[in-house]
Amino acid sequence: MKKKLAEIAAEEFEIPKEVALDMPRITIVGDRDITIENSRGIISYDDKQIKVNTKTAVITVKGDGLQISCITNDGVCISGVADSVEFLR
Amino acid sequence: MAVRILNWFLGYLIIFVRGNFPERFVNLCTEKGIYLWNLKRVESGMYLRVSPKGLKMMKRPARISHCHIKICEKKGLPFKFKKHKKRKVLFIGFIICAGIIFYLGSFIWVIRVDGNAKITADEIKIISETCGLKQGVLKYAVDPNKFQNNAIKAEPRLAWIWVDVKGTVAYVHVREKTTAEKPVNVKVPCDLVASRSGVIKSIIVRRGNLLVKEGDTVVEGQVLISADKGELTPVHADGDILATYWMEKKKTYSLNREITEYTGKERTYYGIKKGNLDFYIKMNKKEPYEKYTIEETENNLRLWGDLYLPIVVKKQWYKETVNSIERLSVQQANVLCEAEMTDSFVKEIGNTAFIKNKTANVKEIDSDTIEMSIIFECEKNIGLKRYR
Repeated sequence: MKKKLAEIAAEEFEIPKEVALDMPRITIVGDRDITIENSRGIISYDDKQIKVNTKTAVITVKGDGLQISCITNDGVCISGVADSVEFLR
Repeated sequence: MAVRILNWFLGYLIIFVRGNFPERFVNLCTEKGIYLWNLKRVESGMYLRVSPKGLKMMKRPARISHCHIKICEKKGLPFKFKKHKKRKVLFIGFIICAGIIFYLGSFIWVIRVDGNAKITADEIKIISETCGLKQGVLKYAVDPNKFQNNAIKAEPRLAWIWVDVKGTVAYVHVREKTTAEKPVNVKVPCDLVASRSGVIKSIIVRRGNLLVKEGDTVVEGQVLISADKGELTPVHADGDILATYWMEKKKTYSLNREITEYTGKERTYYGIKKGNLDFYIKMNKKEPYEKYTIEETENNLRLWGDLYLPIVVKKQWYKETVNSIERLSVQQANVLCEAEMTDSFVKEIGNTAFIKNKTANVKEIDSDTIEMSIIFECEKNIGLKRYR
């Protein structure tokens, strides 16, 4: 209930949700480069599948020749050919 | 690309993390604020790249996640330097080289002037010298504001001056004063007389008593507009009197024209100029060709950008030429001769008059020469003020 209130407030005041609610922001360029901001670490990693933890869900990127090109405290850049991006709640 | 170059300059390490859960290790590292890139997962662990500073912070995450770190490769400039650490002379050489460049780069070697029209660049350079800007002066000692004040005081024709020091070049920007025309005192009586003979084409009278009409032939010195108007006080006569006049020019022109052609053979010499030293490097002193033209260029030695050194490099080309005689046809000679004569006539009359029409007559004197006479029909404002 509390979460919902925050979401409503964010919508009403037009504050970006990735800032107000710490939701992940995913940028996909074609099918090659995926950037996930507001991540909370990686769960598993190989060249077919990468699982990234975020506040709201576990994001699974499936594809071929996947590689983490850079990683910081709050973001992951993935390169390689991606087939799907799934959310696991 | 830019990030890669930066990483190379700062140096980085390729390390191999062996353990059951290298992902946990990566998470612990990122939590500590360590930047990792190019992670590559293999069966038994993970390859990743990290800065030397990050590696020092990795001990604790490695212990917590039960991983072992192994350095595979060291890359980048700092490690390249480490290889040559014992070669002290090399480093001293580097420092001396950088010092010399910095030392030579802190003087002004070239002064460039722009924006001047009536004052020559040499004059401005002399003024600059009196105000403390000359070749070889320390560039930090040049204060543009002070220079501006002194230079404007020294040269009254200057409206504005500024100096920009870029590298070893001082750009002196100049704006000159434009003097306003003296206002005509219209209370002083004067006549308007003809400055030359001609036939009057059009008349505009602003003030005074007109004595001629359109179509009149006037001679030089004849009064066109008089200051006297009946019994009233004499006025300042003013107006535009446009007159047509004719002028004939004659010129003989040879049909045999001597032309100089390049054979394509050329020889280049280089030379150096520095103070009293001024020479070309030539292997044999003999002149290389029988007939030749010389082209020369002089350039200040430049390191890069605007960093010039006080040494002038000269270049000299000897180009072999051959003289031959070209026979022109009469038509060709006509065209060339007419163009030459028109050019010289336009220069002669300047911008006070303009050519309305021209008729050319050609006479062949002998088989080699022609004589051309052109009658130019010109128009000019012939009014000239004559004060009493």
